[in-house]
Amino acid sequence: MSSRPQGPVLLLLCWLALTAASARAELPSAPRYHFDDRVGLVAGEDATVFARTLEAFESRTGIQFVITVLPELDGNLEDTVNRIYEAWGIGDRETERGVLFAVFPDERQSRIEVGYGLEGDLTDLVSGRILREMQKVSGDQAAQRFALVMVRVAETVAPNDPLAAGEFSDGRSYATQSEGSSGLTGLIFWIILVLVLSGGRIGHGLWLGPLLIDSPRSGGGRSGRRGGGFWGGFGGGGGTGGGFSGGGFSGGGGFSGGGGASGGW
Amino acid sequence: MSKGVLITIVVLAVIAFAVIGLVGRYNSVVGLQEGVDGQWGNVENAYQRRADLIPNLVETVKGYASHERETFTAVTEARARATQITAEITPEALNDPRLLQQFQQAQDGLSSALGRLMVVVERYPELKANQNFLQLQDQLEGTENRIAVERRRFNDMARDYNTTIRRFPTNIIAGMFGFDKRAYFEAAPGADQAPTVDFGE
Repeated sequence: MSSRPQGPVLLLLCWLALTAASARAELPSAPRYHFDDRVGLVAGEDATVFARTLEAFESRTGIQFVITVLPELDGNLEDTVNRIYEAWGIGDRETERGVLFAVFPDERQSRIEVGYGLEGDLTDLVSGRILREMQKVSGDQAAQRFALVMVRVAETVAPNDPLAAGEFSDGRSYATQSEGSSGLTGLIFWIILVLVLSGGRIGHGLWLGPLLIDSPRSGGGRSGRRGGGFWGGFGGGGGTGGGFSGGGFSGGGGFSGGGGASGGW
Repeated sequence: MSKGVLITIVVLAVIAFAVIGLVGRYNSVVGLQEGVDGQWGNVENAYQRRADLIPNLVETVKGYASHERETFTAVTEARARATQITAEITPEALNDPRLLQQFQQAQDGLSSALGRLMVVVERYPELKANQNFLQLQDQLEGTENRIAVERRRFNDMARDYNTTIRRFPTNIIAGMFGFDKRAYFEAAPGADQAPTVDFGE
């Protein structure tokens, strides 16, 4: 066989293979926990609750649901998230039941990527609706946003699971009504909003405003998503673990065919 | 005498090893080829999904923009062409780059017809607010994305397979058993750059 003249071609192919491999190596490394906040968008304790909740959700339902917050988006959103999904091997290889919710706060983009095995339940339509509902929650309340997405996804793919009923681990609960239709948190949120927007022009705002904003409940202290003080204050970054010693995340080798939907953040 | 037997044994052993090695390589090439062909099925499904969506989409848009007849005709015709050529392509035909190119052209034609439809849509604010249309738009975005994913995977697998059948010991087997190179999708500049997904919210 005349394999001699193919030498340069082979070299070229090897080079292509190498560059392809290095392009793939640029994807973020696999997370240690099901909730993987590399930016520090939510407080450490919330991150721990979410990580535990999602891990328990997997052991109850067999559905691997991973949330990641990544510092930068290099390239096209859909393509990147699909590659990350594949690289992390979310979902069992046999059942392909996996969901990845990826958030890129700096680019103000997010995406729900659905594994082959859940495409029938968590359709593009439903994913899109969940993301739109999530965006009605203020971006300052990142934990509420994640909680809402978690509950909505659980409602869709495992309606009988406790998470679908809004039960998080450690007995924590989060407001998962987007419209602020009920609950004290919603009310407090609106009061704060009015106070902040009015810039203290309302009489009480003069002293109530700062008080409320500093209260941990409002989440105001974490509000500066793009602000200057953001990185400094959360130097620890991604405190996903925070003393949490569960089994952590390990991928099952699943694939996604690009199902899901993209949205903002 | 005993020396001759020894040599025979050694020669037989070498041949046996070579055969076993070749069988192993043959099997791995078959596996790769089946992977490519199977992935072709996924590519077709993704395109089919888009084709299935179009009549509904066109009907919805018609309800609001009935006089944009040319645009509708263009989409419907492009869809018919794409569907027709999809039916013609079998995995065996995949080693014909020209056929794949025709397929790609037909699908890209449909993409750009859809792109023009979406430009038309921009002129009808009521349509853009229509719930049914919004849902179709979500689904269309989803299918375009699935197409991109499955195509990328098909290309990766075809590239893997092509590289394997050209490497040294395997290329002998490929020549003996007639394993042909598989064609790739080419990244069409512009035409294929999903204008359909850019709904400009």
